[in-house]
Amino acid sequence: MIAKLIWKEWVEQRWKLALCCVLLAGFTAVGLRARVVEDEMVLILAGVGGCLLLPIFVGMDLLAAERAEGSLAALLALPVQPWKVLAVKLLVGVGVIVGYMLAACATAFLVAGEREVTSGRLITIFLGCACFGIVLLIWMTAFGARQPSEARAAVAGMAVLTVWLIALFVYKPIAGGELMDTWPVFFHPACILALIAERSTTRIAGAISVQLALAVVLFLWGARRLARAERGER
Amino acid sequence: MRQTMALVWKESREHLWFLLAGIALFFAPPLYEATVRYTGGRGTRGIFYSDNGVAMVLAVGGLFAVMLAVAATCRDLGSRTETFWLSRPIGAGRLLASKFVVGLAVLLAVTCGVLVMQMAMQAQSGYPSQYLRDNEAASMLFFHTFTLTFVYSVSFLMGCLVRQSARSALLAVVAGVLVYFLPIVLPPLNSVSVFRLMIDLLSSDSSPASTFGANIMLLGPLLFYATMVLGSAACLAASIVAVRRQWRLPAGKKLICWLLVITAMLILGAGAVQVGSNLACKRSFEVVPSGDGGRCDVAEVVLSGKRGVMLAYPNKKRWIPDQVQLELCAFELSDSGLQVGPGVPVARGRWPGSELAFSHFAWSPQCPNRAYFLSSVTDEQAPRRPLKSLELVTVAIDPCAPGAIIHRLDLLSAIPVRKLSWPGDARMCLYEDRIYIRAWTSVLVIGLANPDAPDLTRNINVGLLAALMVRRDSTDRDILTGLRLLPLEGLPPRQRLELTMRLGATPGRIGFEGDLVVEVTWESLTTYRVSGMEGDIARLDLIARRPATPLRRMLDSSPRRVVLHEGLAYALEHEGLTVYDVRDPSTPRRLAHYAAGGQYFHDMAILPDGSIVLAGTRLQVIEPVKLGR
Repeated sequence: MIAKLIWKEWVEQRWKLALCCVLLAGFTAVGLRARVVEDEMVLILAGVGGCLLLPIFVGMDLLAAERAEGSLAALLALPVQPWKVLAVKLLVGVGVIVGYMLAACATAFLVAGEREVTSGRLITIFLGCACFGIVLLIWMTAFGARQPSEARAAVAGMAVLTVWLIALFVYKPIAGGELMDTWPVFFHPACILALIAERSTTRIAGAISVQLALAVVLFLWGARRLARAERGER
Repeated sequence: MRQTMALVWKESREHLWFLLAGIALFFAPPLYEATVRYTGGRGTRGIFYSDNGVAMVLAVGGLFAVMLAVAATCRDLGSRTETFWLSRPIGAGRLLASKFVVGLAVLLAVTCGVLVMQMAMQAQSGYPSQYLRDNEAASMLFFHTFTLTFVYSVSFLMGCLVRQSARSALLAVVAGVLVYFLPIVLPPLNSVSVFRLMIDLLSSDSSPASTFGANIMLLGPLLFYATMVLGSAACLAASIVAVRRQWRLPAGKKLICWLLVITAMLILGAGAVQVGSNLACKRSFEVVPSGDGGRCDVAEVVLSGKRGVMLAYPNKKRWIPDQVQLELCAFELSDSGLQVGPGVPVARGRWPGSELAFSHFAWSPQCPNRAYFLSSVTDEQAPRRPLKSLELVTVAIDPCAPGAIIHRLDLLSAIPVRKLSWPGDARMCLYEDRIYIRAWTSVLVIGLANPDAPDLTRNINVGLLAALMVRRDSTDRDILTGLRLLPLEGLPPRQRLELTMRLGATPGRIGFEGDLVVEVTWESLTTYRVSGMEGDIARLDLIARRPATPLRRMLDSSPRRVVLHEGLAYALEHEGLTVYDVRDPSTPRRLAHYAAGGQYFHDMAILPDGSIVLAGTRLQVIEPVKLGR
């Protein structure tokens, strides 16, 4: 049953993978070929687009589209626990994010090689952005689990980003000048990007562990919300 | 008539909220900024002015037009109310025309209103005109208003065809992006580009009103106005037909998303073709003179075969410092790499400023171990920075051994006026077996009979000719009509012309080869033929002019040096190089471009195989240009 669910999600989401690959790899190729700005700037712009906007595009119809089309009830009526349905959807969403980041990374290798940015740095940029995008997808899915339409699910994603931004602005004066040296910053997903720039392995591992734990909690909370919402509708 | 008035009244009631929201959105930021300025919040007490109106119209005007049009159409043509309107004895044409007119009136009231407000603030502010963007509001009013109308009309058509607000809006955004950016990235559509017209107006010296009056009769603006007005009328007509005949555009989510991606790729790709690289960098070297170990930027380079000399300065920063230590370094550029000899410090002072790309040192392969540097030192503390010393420094130089200064020739006593501001006013070139130095009103000829101790052989007073060297057409100041030659008696006119150009009596953006003269500016490439010499004047006949594309003009890639070599014009820009094919001067064409992406270049040299050496933050060897015909 799980394999069939994965197949169903793949069939529904693969056009998004293709579209995001064309968009991100195309942007990377054009930017690196044109050389209007430095290679690293092109990679960062591609990475930022891939970790801020595209996860919202991917996540907006994981659950909300099913609900809007009326097929979510049928899906949850299958002899599978709701958390497994959500896990499969998130797995495919994560696959899409990893897929288009890989496509952009490969394009960067093919077009620019190591002419300005080393391979390690290039991989680090896309890996960091992929991690950030996956975290955003999980948060967005958890908070948007009850949204009735794709537009409102997208708004939930935007709201998550806004709250992260506000949290940063509120915490920055509290932490003082050394923002990255304080432990609460590990709870903020942006620390993944900041610590990758620092290249501190132990701190990156710490940040990823905290973010992973948060993601598991959010996933369980999202699965619970989904099941409750569905029972409520029935 | 009563029915029409009733419809207009209904629409005006429904559009009232948009009008209020538009006024709040567009008027609040400029009024806030003007108030802050007026109350002295930015040290400008008493000046009630803001240029945010232009920014708001440019940034949000298109989106506001899309919202207005989509809301007006989808509100009454959506599935809920469509049947109601079909049951009324009202023609689709009348209904849609009233919607169109009221929506357009709201759009124009808000966007033109904020621009007129900015012009009024500018008129009463009394702010010195150079601090204000004089023509921006006017150019927006003259041109962008028509583009907004067209975007509104296309969005109106999308609303009538799709009848779902979100999808109509997305499709309208795609159409709006194409209306704004496609004409600027596709050269055949340049004449209908609103940005091109605005740049033309902003780059003119005249007042907006007079320029507009002068340009209104030209083909470019007329074609633009005709396209926008007729396009808008066609969209309205198509909207009425679509509603009457119940045409629907089955715009699914996938279709819209793919359209968005294709549009983005089209704009990006077409733009990249114009401004992006199609030349590859074969080799790139960091310049590190042997011995001291610090990396250097290269200010000037002279290269012959594998050997050359560069004027470099140590720099660990990404920008040019105010004070630099200039060093002459011999180098060898071979397949195995770049070998830079030890630097010989020759001067310390302000950055030589290669904007006009004049030479400050001379070297020739006939005497490869000697280089000559024109050293001039001014009194930086005194007003007008009078000249303290002017010397020709002879440097013994070798790529494998430390060099040294072996001779200094004082030139200060030879020049009558000592008001040079180093180093821009003193230029030199090595021509045949002499060094020519132009310093203010003198041309000094240095003999190299003894390469280790050059001597002053002639001192020619050329007078205050610097400002008169280039003659331009009286009606079109962009067109050259002649060049005044330096009065170097005893030399044939062709040699005088070449020396005049090499001594920097003409701007660095002018290149020459034989009879052909090419001027490259940020807005055009112009070719001339030297048609004759009349006394001290070399007469130039215009052959052809190739205007730059609007996108390139927006990026302001103004060349700092132009070199003509075997029918190709190499225009060195700050961050790259553009190569033009002028083998047929009547049809010059852009052949190739190299964008360095973060590197900066000050000088270049062409190798015998056509490879191009660019010198700046790095020394890069660019592959030769492939000639298509």
